[in-house]
Amino acid sequence: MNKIYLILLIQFLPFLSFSQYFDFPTKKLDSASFVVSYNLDWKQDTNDLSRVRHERMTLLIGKEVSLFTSYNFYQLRMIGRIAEQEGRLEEFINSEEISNLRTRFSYSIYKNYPKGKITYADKIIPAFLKYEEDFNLFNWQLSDQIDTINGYFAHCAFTNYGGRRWVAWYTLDIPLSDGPYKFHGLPGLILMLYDEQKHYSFRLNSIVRPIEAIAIEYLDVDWVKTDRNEFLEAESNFINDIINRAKEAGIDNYSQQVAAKNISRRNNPIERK
Amino acid sequence: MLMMSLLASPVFSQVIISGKVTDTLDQPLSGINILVFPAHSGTLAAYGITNDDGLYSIGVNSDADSLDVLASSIHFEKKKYTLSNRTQKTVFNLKPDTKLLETFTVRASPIAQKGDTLSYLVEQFKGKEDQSIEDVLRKLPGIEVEESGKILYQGMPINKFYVEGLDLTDGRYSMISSNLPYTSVSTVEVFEKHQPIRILEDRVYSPNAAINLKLKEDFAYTGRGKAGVGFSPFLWDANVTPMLLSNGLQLLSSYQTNNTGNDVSMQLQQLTTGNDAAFPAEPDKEMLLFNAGSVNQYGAIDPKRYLDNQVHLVNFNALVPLKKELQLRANVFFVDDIRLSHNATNRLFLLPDDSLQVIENVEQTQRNRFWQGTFDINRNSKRNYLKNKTQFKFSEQKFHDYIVGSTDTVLQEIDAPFQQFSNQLNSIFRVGTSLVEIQSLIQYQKGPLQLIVVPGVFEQLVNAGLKYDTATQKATLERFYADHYVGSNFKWRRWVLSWRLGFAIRLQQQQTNLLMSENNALSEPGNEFRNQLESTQYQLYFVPAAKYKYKRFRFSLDWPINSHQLKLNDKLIDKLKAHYQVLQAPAMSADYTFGGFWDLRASWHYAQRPGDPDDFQNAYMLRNYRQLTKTDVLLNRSSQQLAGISLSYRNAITAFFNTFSYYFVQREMNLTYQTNLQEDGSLTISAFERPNTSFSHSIKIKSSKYVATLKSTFSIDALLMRHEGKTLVNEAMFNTTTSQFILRPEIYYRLSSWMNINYQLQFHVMKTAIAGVARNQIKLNKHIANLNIFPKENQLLNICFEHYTFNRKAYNFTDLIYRYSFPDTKFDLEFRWNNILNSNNFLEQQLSQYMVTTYTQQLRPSQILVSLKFSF
Repeated sequence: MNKIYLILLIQFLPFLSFSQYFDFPTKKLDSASFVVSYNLDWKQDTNDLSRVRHERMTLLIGKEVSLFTSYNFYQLRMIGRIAEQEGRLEEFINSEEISNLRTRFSYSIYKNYPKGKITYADKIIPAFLKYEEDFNLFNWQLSDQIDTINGYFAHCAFTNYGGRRWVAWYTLDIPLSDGPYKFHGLPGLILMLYDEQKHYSFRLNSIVRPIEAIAIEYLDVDWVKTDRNEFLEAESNFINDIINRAKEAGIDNYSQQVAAKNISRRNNPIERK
Repeated sequence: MLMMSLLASPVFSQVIISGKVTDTLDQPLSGINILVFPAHSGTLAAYGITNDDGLYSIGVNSDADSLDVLASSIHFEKKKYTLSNRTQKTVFNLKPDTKLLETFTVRASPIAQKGDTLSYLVEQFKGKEDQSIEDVLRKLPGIEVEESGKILYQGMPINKFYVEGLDLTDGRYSMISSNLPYTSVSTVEVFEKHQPIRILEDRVYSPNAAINLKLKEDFAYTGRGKAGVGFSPFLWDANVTPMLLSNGLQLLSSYQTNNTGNDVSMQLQQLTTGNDAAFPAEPDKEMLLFNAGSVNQYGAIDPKRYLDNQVHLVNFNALVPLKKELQLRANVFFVDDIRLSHNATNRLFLLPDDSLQVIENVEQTQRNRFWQGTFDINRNSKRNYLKNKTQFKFSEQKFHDYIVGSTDTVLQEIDAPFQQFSNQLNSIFRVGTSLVEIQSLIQYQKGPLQLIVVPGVFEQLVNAGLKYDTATQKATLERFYADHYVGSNFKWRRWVLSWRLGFAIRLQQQQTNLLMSENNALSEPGNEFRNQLESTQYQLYFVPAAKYKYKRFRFSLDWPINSHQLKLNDKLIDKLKAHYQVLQAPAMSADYTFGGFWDLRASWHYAQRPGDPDDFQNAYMLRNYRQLTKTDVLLNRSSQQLAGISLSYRNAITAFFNTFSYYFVQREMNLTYQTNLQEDGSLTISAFERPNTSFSHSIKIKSSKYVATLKSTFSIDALLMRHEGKTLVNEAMFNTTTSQFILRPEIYYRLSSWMNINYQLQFHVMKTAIAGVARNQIKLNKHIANLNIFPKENQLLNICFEHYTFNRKAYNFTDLIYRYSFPDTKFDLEFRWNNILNSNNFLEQQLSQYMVTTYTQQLRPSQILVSLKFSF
């Protein structure tokens, strides 16, 4: 009897654990009047530069504030939130759908929020971290080069940021001073952006004016305010400490090694310093 | 918003163009682009963006005589002035003008698209080096294939993989994609935003795509395999998986066999455990009337170290589309598994003024054979979703145990054939605007079981103290169970509310009879050893549940209410017991996060459980060669209360993680089990109507820290557990206390990107106290070191060392694994050397309330196994 009883107790331990939630309280900052989609091609491993990864990224541009995030991540949050509101959270969490809804990028970049700042917000398991940078972050050097990109007449400009030299192609035909990632401040929308080594390359996929208003929302959670350096340290700690965190999740040794091996390939972050 | 451009051409003296931009009402406009071109040129010389006050200021270096200055924005008209090239102020006054969408529409993608489906001709993408369809898929725009075989479309994994519109593998598609030659496929179709359950199509948005392969010919044939050999004795490990695909019938089968200690029948468990925890009164999947003590009862070491097996597994899957929206899928398993084990068991019984030690040598042969067939019929239409799963299972479990004790030798044979039929139906349909789900389960189980013990045991009770040759316990259990429920959920303000209403019925017949034989003459000891029980159980249940969330606070509450009726009739003595009660099982939990890194959780759970007809017997029944039980008191009131609290601080910036938790469990029953312990270690267990309460406490602490300068993670776990209860043995009631303490420090060191080490130490102390007096203590120290080396990208070397000290006795193990993947082929080679030091036995101890059991388990010897994985 007693042995069974102890087993029961152990089985009940996870009873306390709350599943991951999507339906966080949010604060509406603005409404998107444009939805811009970029294709990102990137090389995450400097030891294997022939391998290119892809992800679709989304830029929501409002009158005051814009939000740049991964399309998958945005969808995951939105669908997860609806599932949670409809009481289908557990079903959603156990579905093939969610295990599949993965993304490499869980950050949200808010430009001009708060006013005159750029906010970078991300969850590094298990904390919500954010930091601010000055809005006028980029010192663009204009160039004479011109080209046609996605059917638009495009101008070229250069800037240095995060240990890389960046090349931006923007068009005066779309007078939105915005672009992928933190990049902005040119007199037209950035159509294409890449670093000189072409490790990260964003290219415009589409731009549409949404029929229904899309809210630009900010998660109203317990954000821990930090600075850029501390954030980069937390990110690097996560990568180096992955075995420990995988073990905590009850993953076997071989899978831990695979996880460590896989994550060690993520040695080429967009911001190097 | 103020933007200054710094154009790097110092040759010309800089002029400053500045000014203000306003709308027609003279309100300042921010965020307007001011572009400066040399006159009549398309090359941008400089630009600025107006700030909140509508002001701009642009430094221009240009040799042009005059400049074109243009105000440009989304919401206002464009306006251009041509100015002379000198420092000056210019004011723009702009009229609103919202640009039309068409202005910005990007040209259509070069791949033609029809609705939500994209089609690619394989011919156009194939290459010389390609083999499987996976190699071609990698090249298709927007498609990626991960190392695991997972296929992504637009960075997002696909949700279905069809061949000719059929999903044979239920998600395990890499079996097909990595083996099917691309030459068999004509077209790859991508269904964007694919919702596999059609009734959910317009309600539940699916962002994922699905892939469908269209075959060139009517049929495609392929497969995958693994072959391994080793010694000593001769070891084998083989797996062959052929498949046949077509637009009608699809087949996938598999044959696996080994004697390497790998329990492949585990695959079957995964398939049989579905999501049927929703049914409250579902009886046991097995019929556990006899307990032989199986080979897999040891916990501290990996079963692969001792499992001496010979297993064959055959699996066959087929899928047939019947109509457009209707398909039939069949899955059949056959397993034949033989397990041998040899151990020495030492049982120490602790009584208030006494103790008793029983030592036995057990040689066990276990053979499990079973057939299992699952047939799904699935209707997936716009109007409704319906899945019906029918399952048959025939199993035969046999144990042959040869037990050598200090005074006698016992032979025990258990024969437990078992048949099961079940049908489960799941349907989703619309009622008004909401979706309603219906679940139904019907199940029938039957098992005529038999236990034979030679020589006869419990002769005092059974045969008036006279020895006899053979005891044969016969038992027949037959069960019918049906459970149906309907449920739905909705949202109200900050609450999500759901409900489920169901009805379950369980009918059961249990007949047991003990036979004695003496000189081949059979006799029956009488009604004290015969049960003829008939039970009927009805349950009407309602499960309301609510979840609440506000900011950083979350709360959930479930409150199942169960109206339960149980009737038990012993036909032999015509005695009816009936019982009716309303049972409740509320559970609630709350969670609060604060300060970013802190999380406080609390939960409480109280469950009243109905009695199970399986736990009731009017007369004695032999459970194994040393256990005779009788539970003629109905367990009608059992309840369990669980409360817990946990606090965690997890700082991701400093990589410092800490959790503290405390749990309390209280369990109450209306009856107490009384054990009668004989000198030879045999037990007679019966029940009395007498309340019995037990308590458990546990505290758990976990802490870890990554130190970047040392490239190491340090962690420590501690667990303290205490269990208090009352035990009734040989008419004496006494308190028992068992406590455990575990401390586990660990270090992980990443030497370089190609090598890492981790080392774990574990101290484990278990103590037993009987009637307040400490009686027994077990000490286990465990050291585990793991070294992982990646000499090359396609190679992994893992060396593992384990050292155990069990009450000062030491055991050592070393294992080595080397994996090599041949580049650009589908071949993987694995070399495995288990138990290099050839340790031949392992000691393990288990603790229960008043008994300490020590097993000395014989282990698999030092063995080497080489295996190769391949495709065909």
